[in-house]
Amino acid sequence: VFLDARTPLFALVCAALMLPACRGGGGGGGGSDSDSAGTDSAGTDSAGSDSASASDTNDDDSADETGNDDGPEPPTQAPSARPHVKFKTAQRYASDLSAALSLPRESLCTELDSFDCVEVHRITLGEVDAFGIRLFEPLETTPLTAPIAVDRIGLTACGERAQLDFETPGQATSFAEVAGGDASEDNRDAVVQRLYRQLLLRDPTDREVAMVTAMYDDLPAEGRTRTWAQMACFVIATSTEALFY
Amino acid sequence: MFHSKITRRRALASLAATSAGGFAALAGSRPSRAGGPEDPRFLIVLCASGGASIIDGPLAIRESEAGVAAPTLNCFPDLIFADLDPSIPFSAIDATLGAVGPIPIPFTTQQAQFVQAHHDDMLVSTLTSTSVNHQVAQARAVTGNGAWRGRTLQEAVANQYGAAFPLPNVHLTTGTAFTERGADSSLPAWAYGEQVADPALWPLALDGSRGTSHPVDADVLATARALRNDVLDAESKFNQAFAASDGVRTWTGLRGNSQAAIEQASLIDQLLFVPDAAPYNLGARGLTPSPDAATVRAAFPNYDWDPLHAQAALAFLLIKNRVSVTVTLGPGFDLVLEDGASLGGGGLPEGSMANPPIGFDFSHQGHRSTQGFMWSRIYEVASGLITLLRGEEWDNGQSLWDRTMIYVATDFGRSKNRVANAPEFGTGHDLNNGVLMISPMVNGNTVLGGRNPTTGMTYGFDPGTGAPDTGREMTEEEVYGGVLGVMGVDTGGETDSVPAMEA
Repeated sequence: VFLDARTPLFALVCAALMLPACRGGGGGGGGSDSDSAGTDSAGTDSAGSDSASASDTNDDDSADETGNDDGPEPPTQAPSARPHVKFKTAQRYASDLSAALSLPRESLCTELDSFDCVEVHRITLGEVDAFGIRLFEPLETTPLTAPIAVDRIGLTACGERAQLDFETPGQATSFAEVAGGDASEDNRDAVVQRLYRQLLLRDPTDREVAMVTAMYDDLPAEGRTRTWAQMACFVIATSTEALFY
Repeated sequence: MFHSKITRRRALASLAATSAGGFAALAGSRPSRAGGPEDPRFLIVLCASGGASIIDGPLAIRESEAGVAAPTLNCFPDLIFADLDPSIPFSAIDATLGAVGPIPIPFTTQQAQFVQAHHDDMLVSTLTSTSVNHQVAQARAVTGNGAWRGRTLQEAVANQYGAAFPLPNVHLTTGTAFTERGADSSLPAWAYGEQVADPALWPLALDGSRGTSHPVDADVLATARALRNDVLDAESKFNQAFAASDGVRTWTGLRGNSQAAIEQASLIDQLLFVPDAAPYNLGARGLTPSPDAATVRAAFPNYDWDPLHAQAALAFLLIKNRVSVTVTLGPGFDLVLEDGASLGGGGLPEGSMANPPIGFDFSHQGHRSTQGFMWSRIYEVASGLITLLRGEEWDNGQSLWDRTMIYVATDFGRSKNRVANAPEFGTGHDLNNGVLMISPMVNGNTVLGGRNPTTGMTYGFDPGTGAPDTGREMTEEEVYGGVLGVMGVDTGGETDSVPAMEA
């Protein structure tokens, strides 16, 4: 997992590998916020609470320095010296999605209104089925169709959440600020903030908020707010960060 | 001309014997000539898991041939042999039995109809394998015991012809080592097998939105994916930290072009063979069955309860729609009963069991009935595939079948003896056997090698001329090279082709 910049090991790895991220006193703060790092507790990532550099905390807008008007610079993170992460596999992913979106597991996603999505795609997404089809170990090779299967599950679960929230805005759990019809930028920002906390258990960076919020402008006018809500959820729920741990 | 007459591996081996350095130099200089998707051939690996005994199928032995050995040899009464034309070198047994091993279910073996219809495309090659362990033997059946760096037949064919196909190598069966990934890690990712767990519903995973309960327009999905893939994922701290992990790298690689190619081909419209009726209700979600759905369901009517029929239905559609160049299917090791089938009345109704437990390996409990039942099953599915492929034109009057081979892969043979005069008996595993290939591309209506009618043991042949050689046994490597030779795969000298197998 993340290297802590305060440790001798970090300095050793930097010296050995000459990582660009190591330069500048702790290298994009990659190691310094090893506790946050996008995979666990919320808040610490964007809080700028440690020795991270300015580019890491992402509080400033680099457009001022570069003349570029593309919004804040993306954060930089030192590559892990031991980049070992696991795919969540179907059941774990469904469980996380169910909890994040406050959807009962059984109504998270169905195929053709008859079959549980996760069951349909579970072998593709790394599960085994010893008693059903004598598959005792996960597939050795990730199927080409796996990302599509994930997209179907994410799209459906997010669509389900959006439908519930927009039908009963008073009980909305993910899209409260826009479910009543006001899709102002501030409201969309608030939704994005919540989605990151719900789905990735961390706060988004300013740039992430800006980019997801701006997707609204790229969507067709008809039903735009609800579509944006569904797709804002989708891009976060199916991100690599949501799928690996 | 498809064939590349392969340079002789044995010549290299001879060089190696005299000069290790010389061999190494030659091996290192072998050109890589894989490719050629413009003129593909198609390979169907039909897995006869558990040990399909060749002397219970196309090389069955008559009691009259066995002579004094007949009482204790696995041979059949002359009367139950089908009366085939003398020019046909194969046997066919049509018999009615009352049980499959200890399972009380009447059935009739039906071999004659298949042999009479397809003998011109049938080739039997004798084979003596190297393991009586199911998993090991199955893997060796498709790698030729590691003949070409551990590359499977399916991977070799996919690598040769599959570059332009969305999913070149699809595995429709599970629970066997016929679908294990080969040991050669140098192939492109798309050449390895794509596993399908449920042929009826798997096509849904060929489109990220269509058919879901909350679909969005393709443009909307593309916009969101671009944001996710190119911005959010690319810039996230998580990705920056872990982009080098195997899992993340693979995942990122699969998104993008591979995903787009699959979706743009609209495969979801071509591969759903289930009807628009409960429980599938395709129309309610904006989907329609494949234009060929009714045809394949007619060919494989038990698709909704027999996994092999479902596999075969999808196998045909994958080839027909130019999705795959090789598909692997086969009966599994599970008991398959029709829904509602019960033992009421003392036995199962005829036709209510599609598969006995452990497939061909149920021969341990009842050899003759199991082999008869399972060979009929193999023939039935092969016949359905051949009929469908014959009906599809490739080009210039050539059908898809003209470019396809069905390779009936199996683990090993069965022991050749029986308790004196027993009509039913159990058998063990035996290395000695033979394999069946069916294709217009093979030297049809031919048995390469032969079997000794008094021992049941098979013997080999000269790979070049096909002349029988009672002092020789054929190896897994030779059969592997022979199959690839028929398939026109350039192995760069890694294996020998077997000219006697080629049409």
